[in-house]
Amino acid sequence: MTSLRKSSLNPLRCDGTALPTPLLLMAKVMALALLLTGEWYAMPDIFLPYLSFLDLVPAGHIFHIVLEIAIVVSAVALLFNLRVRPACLVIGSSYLLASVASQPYFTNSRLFTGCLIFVIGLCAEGQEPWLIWYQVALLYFGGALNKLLEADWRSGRFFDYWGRIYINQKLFLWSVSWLPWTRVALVLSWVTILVEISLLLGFLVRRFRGWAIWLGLLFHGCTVFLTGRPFGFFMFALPASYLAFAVWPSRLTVLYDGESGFCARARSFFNKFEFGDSIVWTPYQNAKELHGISEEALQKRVHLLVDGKIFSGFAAFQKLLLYIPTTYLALATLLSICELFAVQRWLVFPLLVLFSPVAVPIGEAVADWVARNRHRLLGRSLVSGGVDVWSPAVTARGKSRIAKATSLLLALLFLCAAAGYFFEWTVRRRDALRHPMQGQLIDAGGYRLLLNCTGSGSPTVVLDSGVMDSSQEWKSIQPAIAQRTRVCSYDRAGLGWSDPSPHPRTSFWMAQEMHAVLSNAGISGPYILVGHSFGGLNVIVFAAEHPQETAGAILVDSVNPNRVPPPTILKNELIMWLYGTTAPFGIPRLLGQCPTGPTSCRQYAKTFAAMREARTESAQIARSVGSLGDLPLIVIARDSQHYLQSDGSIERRQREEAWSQSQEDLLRLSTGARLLAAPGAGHSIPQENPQVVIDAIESMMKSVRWSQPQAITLARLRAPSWFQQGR
Amino acid sequence: MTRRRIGIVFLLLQLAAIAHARFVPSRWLSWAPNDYAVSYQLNVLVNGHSLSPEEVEKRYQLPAEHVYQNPPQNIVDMVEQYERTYGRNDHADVVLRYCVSGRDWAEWRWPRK
Repeated sequence: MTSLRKSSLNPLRCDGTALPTPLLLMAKVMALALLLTGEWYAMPDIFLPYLSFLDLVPAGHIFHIVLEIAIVVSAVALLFNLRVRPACLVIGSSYLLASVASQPYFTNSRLFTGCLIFVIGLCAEGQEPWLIWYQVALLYFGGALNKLLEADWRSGRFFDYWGRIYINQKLFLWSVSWLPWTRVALVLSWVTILVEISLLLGFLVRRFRGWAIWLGLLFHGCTVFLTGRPFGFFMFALPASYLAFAVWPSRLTVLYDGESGFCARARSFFNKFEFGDSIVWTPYQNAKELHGISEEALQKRVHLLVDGKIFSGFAAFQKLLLYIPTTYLALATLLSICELFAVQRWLVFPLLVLFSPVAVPIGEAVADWVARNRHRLLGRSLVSGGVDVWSPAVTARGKSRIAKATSLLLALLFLCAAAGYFFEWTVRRRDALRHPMQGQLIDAGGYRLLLNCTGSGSPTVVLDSGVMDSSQEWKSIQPAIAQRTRVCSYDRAGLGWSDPSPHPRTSFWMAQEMHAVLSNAGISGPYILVGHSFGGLNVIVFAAEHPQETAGAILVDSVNPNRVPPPTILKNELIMWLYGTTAPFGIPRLLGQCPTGPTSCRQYAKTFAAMREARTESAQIARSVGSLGDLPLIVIARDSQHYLQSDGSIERRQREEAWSQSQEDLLRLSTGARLLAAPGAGHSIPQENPQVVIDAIESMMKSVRWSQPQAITLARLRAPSWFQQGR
Repeated sequence: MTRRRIGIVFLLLQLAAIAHARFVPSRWLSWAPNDYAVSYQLNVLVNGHSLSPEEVEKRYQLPAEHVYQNPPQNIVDMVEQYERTYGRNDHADVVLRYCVSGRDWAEWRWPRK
């Protein structure tokens, strides 16, 4: 165990505190991940507490603020080696308190995180961390026991259902496609149960702990890989907890070739990231004792002595990395970032392979090649009294190579950025030529929107596109309608040729803008409004706001205002920010995230973020309309089979059933509503089955030409205060 | 020494929770991580007004439709506790439809008949 030394404020140091190095490292890894993933920000207020007396706590609404402050302050203290044990107790208690103060907040991963950090706070320097050992064992004991006693687990039924929903790794699904899924599910069920029992026993029996660590990492790595899910905070807490079982060496001795510039550089590299004094670097030429290793072997490979064991070459490099706290903190940072972008599954296996014996054969070959060519790579170093002294000539040559490499890297970066910028400019220019502006830019109150009206006659058909689509969406429909009457499509603010709007991107403002543009262009009602997807919400609001000018409405696979999914998660906002920032260099476009047409990718990302932010509010506004009276209304629904043919999962089936139901529910908006199906079309009906939309518009035109626009009785009585504020 | 005692009591409490879970249908604080897959839908009527999914989520801090990874009894516990305490004056009618591991859909209603 590490002896008590003066603690340092350096977050990369994990010695000299009241906690042993691996335990402090474990706590730091979790604290770092808590901060970076934003998990600290999810603390609940007291709500449906498991312990009902907590409802009596006054000012329950500031409960989450108190916990969040406590967690952040303690996590920062922990990272800077200040009062580490009390900090662990505070973080752990906060999580435990949150878990019993709110049942909806409760998850096993949060509870485990709380328990683990709490018991770390109960451990002390100089004692074995058996509290943590039993804490981890309890988790596997509870999990294995529950699974063994659940009939659905023993029969494979749970995995059959769960796997269909969550396992989405295509390679795995393809590799088991020749077997009946129920058989695969049964095998996976029992493998899980047996692994959990093995982990329980492995962690309890000291001699099997090394195997248990690898089995646990492999098992949990596989679950992350197969599902792409981090399982709450388990992805961080479980691997971190294994550190308590690792034997942390008090001293590492590296015997290396003191005459090699490469070795000296490697030493300098490791010294940059290892702030303790546990690694002793000794040129073998100056070593007083060679620990039974021949000089010939030392010439060929670097050697590492760990508590009496000797590792050489790549294995030495692996062990060296494993015993440096910085490695774990860097991995926690990397995994947290990957978790934010939901790409952790692609990192887990490479990391496991890098540190596992699997990588040794390839790693050894690389290490041998490096060892053979080490004098050529970074020149020679001279040994003097145990300290490397680089000769000026060698230093200059080495430095010159590093400078060259750095310059090359910078030049490459610059070239990539320039190429990206040129690519973005070229594609936008090409798109502008391919899709010349059709229509006119009309003032909408200090900013201009594109309005493209063709044909003549009345009523005027107004086309409103899906959430991020431009007027181009209607190119298969507009010409056909223009032969019979006037038809107008338009680009919403911030999309296509239109300027961005200063107003929030709610349906209220979009309907206002649509009306302003039509009025300013001198196009009066009656209108037949056609809205696709999100445009349906705008159509509902427009029809309710301007009942005398609306002759009918057609909702094309429209969003149902009662069924808008809950909004916004941090990771998507970060992605949109990244897209916006890297847009000038063509990165989002290369990833297929930019539209064709004149919208710049940066503007697209901004508009998308604004629309997402206002999505719930748009649904609320549309919902507050309640009813459109007896306004002629046609709802066009997509063909569920379009998606079910390629994805027959239960989750997809349920989603399609819910969506079909939501389309039927839209009929309640009007007593004059009817439902049409779009055979063979998915959500993009205007592109995939435009004829259905054309037929619906023509059918509605016939009916409204023979009747006057109806006065609509609005059920806006429930209109809440924000509706008025929106004006 | 005190820390050690606290630690032992803490672990024993968890062991007791695991044992307790064997006699009840819910799984709170008892280490059954991700052991269930329950698809459910919550429909709530308050004063004759059907709540939207967002209103349901706001009411119980639970999504109105979701795949829940604990037993359905956990959802029942939460809804029941809400309706007995915070929402007892709302006289809400709640229908919880759920399906465990892909079995047939079952229903639980509040108020209990």
